[in-house]
Amino acid sequence: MNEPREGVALRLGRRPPRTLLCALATVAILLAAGEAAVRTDVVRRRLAGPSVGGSHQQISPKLEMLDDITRRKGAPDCIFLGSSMVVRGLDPARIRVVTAEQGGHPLECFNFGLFALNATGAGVIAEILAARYHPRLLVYGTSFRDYVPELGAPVHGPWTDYRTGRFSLAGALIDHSALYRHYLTYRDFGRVHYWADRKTRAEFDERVTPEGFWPRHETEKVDGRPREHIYKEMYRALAAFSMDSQERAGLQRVLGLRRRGTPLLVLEMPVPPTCITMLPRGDDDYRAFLRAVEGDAAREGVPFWTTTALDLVPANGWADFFHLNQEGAAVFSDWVGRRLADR
Amino acid sequence: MTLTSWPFALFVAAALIVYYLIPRRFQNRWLLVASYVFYATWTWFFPVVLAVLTAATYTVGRGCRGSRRWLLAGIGLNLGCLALLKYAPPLLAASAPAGFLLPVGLSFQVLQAISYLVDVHRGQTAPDGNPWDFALYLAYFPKLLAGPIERARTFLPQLARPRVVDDAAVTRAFALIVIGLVRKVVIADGLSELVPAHAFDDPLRSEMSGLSLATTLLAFAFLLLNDFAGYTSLVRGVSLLFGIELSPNFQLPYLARNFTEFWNRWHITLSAWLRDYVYFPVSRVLLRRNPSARHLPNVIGPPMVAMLVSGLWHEASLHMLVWGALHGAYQAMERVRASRGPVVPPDKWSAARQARARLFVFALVTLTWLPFRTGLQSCALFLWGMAHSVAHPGLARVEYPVYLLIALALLIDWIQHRGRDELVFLRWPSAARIAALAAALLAIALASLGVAARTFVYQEF
Repeated sequence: MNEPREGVALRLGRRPPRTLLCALATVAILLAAGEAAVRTDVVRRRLAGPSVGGSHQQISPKLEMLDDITRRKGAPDCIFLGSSMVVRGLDPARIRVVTAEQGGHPLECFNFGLFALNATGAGVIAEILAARYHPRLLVYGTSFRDYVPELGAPVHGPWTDYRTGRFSLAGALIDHSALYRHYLTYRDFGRVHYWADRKTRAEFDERVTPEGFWPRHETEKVDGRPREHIYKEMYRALAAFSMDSQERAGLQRVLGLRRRGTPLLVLEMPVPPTCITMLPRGDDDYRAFLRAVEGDAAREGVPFWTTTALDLVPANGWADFFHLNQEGAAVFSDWVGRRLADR
Repeated sequence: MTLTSWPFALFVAAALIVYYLIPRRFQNRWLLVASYVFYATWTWFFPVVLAVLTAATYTVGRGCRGSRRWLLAGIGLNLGCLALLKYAPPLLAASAPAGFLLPVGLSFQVLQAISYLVDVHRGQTAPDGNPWDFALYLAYFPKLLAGPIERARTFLPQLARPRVVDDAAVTRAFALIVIGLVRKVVIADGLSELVPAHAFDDPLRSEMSGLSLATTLLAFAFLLLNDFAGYTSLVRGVSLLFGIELSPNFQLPYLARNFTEFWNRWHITLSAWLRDYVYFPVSRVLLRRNPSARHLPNVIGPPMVAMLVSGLWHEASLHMLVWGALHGAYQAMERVRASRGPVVPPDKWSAARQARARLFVFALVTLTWLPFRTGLQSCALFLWGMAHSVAHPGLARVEYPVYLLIALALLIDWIQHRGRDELVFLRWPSAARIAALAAALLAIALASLGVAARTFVYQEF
């Protein structure tokens, strides 16, 4: 072959790069076989639940449960969204019973509450749930803690980004590949946090009802002011309480779904009156919070149900100053069920 | 632009397409343009500094042949630039202008410029070559960030020579790129995620046992090697696609049997630069004063000075000087021993002695990475922690996948060592080659998906 007179000449043969093509084919075959295998019940039953990755540990198991229900019975009529106050406070099983007793259609609900979910995160999750499951009603259970950034846990990750319109290869793979979702479950195998996460997941699987409700059984007396040494972090976070503008934008993101055709309801999650004393200006701050939510909801034409002033929860219905216990959740869920049946 | 990111892959693809489509006489100019565009993706300031440095060095170089004054002026100019941009801002700290950034890779560009000036002075390189080729010598984008530190006398002739990129070259290029990505993305980035930074910065607060701290240091040794060796392999592969061969920088350094051998295997192009432009000149000056090869200053002076310069080149800090001094001391001790009688070369040692020597050199080198990684106070606390705390369940432990990644790094080293060729994989039977490539591609994809591309450690120098 002649040498070029100057510069660089590209002289590639006509033979295709066999090793590279065979390697790519091997990878493709392995991935396709793996994908097919994890989609079968036989293999899936033997694996730990899939994961969508991201920073919030409870999104994956809740999605898995909701997908399972959707596969078996179709998408639920109603999805509850909110922080741990929702997780502990709304029992879809009771709501189904109550709505059936009221003579109407028994409402199938799912509790998609996530621990430490603030309004910003709720905006993201609400968009995903609305687009994926098209519920007949999305209920956002909210409280003043949702608007304090220090009390929230982020929900971002490639999958949530992808589902809310920011493309990434990882996000697309998580969304479309069961194999990749299972890989994410095992990716950190051997790391210190892996076993802690597995333990948390096992506890979750054991205690959470199929509809996503996680009851608490302990009872705390809430007739006095919350003790500072126990609620130290909460007092610190609430010391200069005002509704954070970004969190408020999260609420507006949830409310904006109504314009896109998702029926919405905002529900004030009840707190004992003594809890309100944690706010620096007490009742004034709490009323300002309610007014802000009510105003935002009204602007979007979304109903807002207030509950604390109704004094619905009995004295033995509190697990602590922020969460209902099983008894409290039963009373509150019955009330919500009746109101939903009346709608 | 990070070299392991998609934007860089697209940039290389675009540069290659244009490179092979335009008339051949414009190819080098195009590479120069592409290199400056690549550099400008950080900030416009970087290519400006590089252009000024290039023009000044080229101009001074024309007067350098036979003129000591011009040579010193050129070296002073380059060192002054380095001192101004690299060493002054940390010393001035608060008074440095906001947004003042050290141009990435400046230390490497300065070493290459100095080697050009010295070679011109010695008559080893022609001073009146094509100025655009000289500009490309300093700016060539695959080696712009962290070397290899090329010599003008080997790099410039490649640009002038007609060359062919054929199937064999492309195969070699892709093999180097894949090996580089495995070392960087899978091993180094994996270890980087698992090795807790606070173990070095604040060893006592990390609450790690002595064994865990030792393992962390071991992991850092492999992280550093695979990060830099991965980078070098990657850029050599990319460069081969343009028909330009860059020098290898690593040759399984952790298998060295003495410290001189270690430095012939670790960051080879820097070692060679130090040898030619520091070690030999210092040695010549000392021998002129006292010609005895056994005279102690003649034995310990050159390695000490060369390694202190190396430390200072990395960073103007006390801990880097200590790092350099330790390596200088190791080599000086070897030279003292060698000066007292005949030495059997390591290849003639028994297998057991070779293994012992490898372990000894590796252990000392690994300990020396401590002042390389962190300040002296943290080094002392780290060593104290290693010596005084024993493992108990309450203490934080090393993440187990660290061992897996170290094992993978060792496996690659062992295969390359046994085959006496970094591209030994290309000589494997077809099925093994396909399986290895498939595994590598899968590992790279899984390790990089959903993770932001990390920069290279040596990019910071």
